[in-house]
Amino acid sequence: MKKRRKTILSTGAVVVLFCIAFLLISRLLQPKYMTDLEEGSFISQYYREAGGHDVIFLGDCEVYANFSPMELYRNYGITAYIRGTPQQLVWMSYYVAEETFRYETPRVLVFNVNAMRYSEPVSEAYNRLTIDRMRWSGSKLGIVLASMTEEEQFLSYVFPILRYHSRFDKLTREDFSYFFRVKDNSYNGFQLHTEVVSAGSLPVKKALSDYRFGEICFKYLDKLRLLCEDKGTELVLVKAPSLYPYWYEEYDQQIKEYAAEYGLSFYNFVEQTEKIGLDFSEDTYDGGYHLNLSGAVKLSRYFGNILMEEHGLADHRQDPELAPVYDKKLQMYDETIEERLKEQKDEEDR
Amino acid sequence: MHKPGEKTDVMVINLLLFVAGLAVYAGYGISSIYLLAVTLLSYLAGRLIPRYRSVMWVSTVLQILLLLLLRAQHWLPWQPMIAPIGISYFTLQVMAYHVDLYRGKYEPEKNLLTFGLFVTYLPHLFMGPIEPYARMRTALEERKISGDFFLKGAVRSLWGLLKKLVIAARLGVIVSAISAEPERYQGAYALAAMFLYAVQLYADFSGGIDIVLGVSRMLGIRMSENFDAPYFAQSVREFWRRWHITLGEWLREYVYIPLGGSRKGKLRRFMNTIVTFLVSGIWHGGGYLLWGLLHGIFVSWGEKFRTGSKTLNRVATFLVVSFLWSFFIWPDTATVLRMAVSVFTVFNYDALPAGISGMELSGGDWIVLGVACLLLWIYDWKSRVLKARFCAFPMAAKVGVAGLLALTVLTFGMYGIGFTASEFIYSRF
Repeated sequence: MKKRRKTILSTGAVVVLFCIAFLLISRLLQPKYMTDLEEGSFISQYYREAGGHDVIFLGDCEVYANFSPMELYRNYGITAYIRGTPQQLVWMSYYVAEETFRYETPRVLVFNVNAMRYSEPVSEAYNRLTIDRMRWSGSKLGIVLASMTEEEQFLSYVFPILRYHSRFDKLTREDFSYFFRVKDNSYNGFQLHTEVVSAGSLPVKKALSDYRFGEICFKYLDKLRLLCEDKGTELVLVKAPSLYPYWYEEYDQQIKEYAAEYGLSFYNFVEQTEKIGLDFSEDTYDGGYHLNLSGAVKLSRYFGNILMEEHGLADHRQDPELAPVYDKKLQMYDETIEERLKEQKDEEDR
Repeated sequence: MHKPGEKTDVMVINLLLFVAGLAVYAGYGISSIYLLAVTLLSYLAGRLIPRYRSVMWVSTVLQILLLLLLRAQHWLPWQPMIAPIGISYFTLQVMAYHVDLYRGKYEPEKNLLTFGLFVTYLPHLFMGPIEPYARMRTALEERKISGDFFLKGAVRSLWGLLKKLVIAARLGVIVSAISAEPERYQGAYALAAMFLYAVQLYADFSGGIDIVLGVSRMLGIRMSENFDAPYFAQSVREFWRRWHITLGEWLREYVYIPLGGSRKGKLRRFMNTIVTFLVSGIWHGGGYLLWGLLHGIFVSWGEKFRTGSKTLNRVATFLVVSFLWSFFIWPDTATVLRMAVSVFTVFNYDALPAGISGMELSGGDWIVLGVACLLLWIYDWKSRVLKARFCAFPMAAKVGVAGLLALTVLTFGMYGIGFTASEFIYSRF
């Protein structure tokens, strides 16, 4: 009996050791997205900040590069968070929204409609950047099942080692430095780009054989709308300004019709670049695809005004609970901007 | 422990295994219908053979013709038939069963389920081992299930996975790159491909067999060993006693001995050996006749060249066997011969290290490959001692070994997107 108990205990201890080793190795091999492809960690940074946001942004790179929640707060006292990720497709946005509602119920949910043009998963790499760092829940299960490309396997999302094992000889200092800890490399989901790369020649605008958005896109847009209705959150549709990829008139028409049918607000900022004051010779960091800080500041001021005027959001700058937190964030944000600009200037001087 | 005689349990597990086998096989489409038909017809033929002995001849000739037809497709410009997966393996088993019944070795199997499982037992359906009916029946009847057996089986399977995913998959990257461009990669590259393929094939095939034997052990079924450190053989004859053992036994029992074996003089013995290896060549496929012939010649005359040095004999045997595996690397005999000649005529040996290291494997991959090959070599060298030691380990240590192997495979295995880890080289034959 004593021997049997000893066997069970020692075997159990070995099993526990194996599990710990398995988890540690999995963690080590998984990309940390701290300095390289930092967008991959945005989704998880939200969990530390979840709650108390009046506005949540959803969408692809056009949201996390173009809207700055810090500027929204600075100018209007709006508390906002961007849950955008690279190539976030419509069904991804739906599941991210579903997850967000577990943590908070924002007044307004802003959805960037650029993703409507994609009816199927684009690539495994983009899926990973959105899904890898999400916490497990029904929403993550849904997003994985909806997003997997043919070559992907569900189990590799459950056990990331199945996907990332080949990184064993590509580990960098980052993998060890951020083994347990993570750093905030966004400002409420905003990716800061201070560099300027003026818009130059863009690909030729080609006529498409079919401009209609896919059924699946409308299906998930419907689900997102119903989810917001259910939660009492206002869904606002936007198209962030960019010169490329082209936002066709036929695309715009479909969204306008959808918004009109369901009484939603839709702001196409591509058409309002002049009003916003955008100048693509200085307000973009990649030749017109995305805005840089200066462009994001202009767009956030413009959109913040709309949110305040037309959607009745509250100014939290005097809120005794929120103000100290946001003032501190704003200070860090400004310090980083100053640092980046200085670095940039030094580099130019060299 | 499962006690012999607990028939209900045995039947239930057999039924589950039979259904699982068919369910997996059903994924291969028309192959599953063929397998079911073969199972049913072979069962009926087996029941008839004791009374109508000519049924054995009809069944055997039909099966040989079908195999020959499948192999002959190699020379045809189009392929009229799709070879059902694993046909080479279950056909040999069924033929042996019918011949044994004809010889009166045992009574025909009355239970269709037991017979069905003998043919369709999933773990060995795709690459063997080729089990004689009597041995398979004993293995199924004397099934022993225990935690210890389960653990031993798991460790054996994981070791097989390590061979397959850590060693064979990496070597496959290099061998495929070389064999894909025979005009570009000759001389030193051809020689490297021969050696690397020898190790790749061994790691792949024996790894697969380890998985089959391990999974069977986990289910309480003890199957025949198919390898015994083949590259430690001191002659090609000995190599064939250590490589694909169950195929060798089958060929000896059902081809070599019926031809007269070694009983009718030196010339007949030589001829019988050659014929047996030609059959082996045909079994492997239409393009392997010359490979079989050469093996037959080396098996017959190779012993004459044995030296007093074990190491020298082993190295020489490895060189010969590796050279002969060339038939499996390049697509046709002409290319194989051209590559073999290039080894002596194209002197690009100085460029080999840089050339090979640029072939998709990283520095880390080479280190992992080197360490894993060393482990494989040590294991083959000391397998009996290591197995005995492992058996004496307490349960916790065995679990630890299993965990270590699992982590090694998970971390250093080549699998996932871009890799077809479930394909084994020998499941094509």
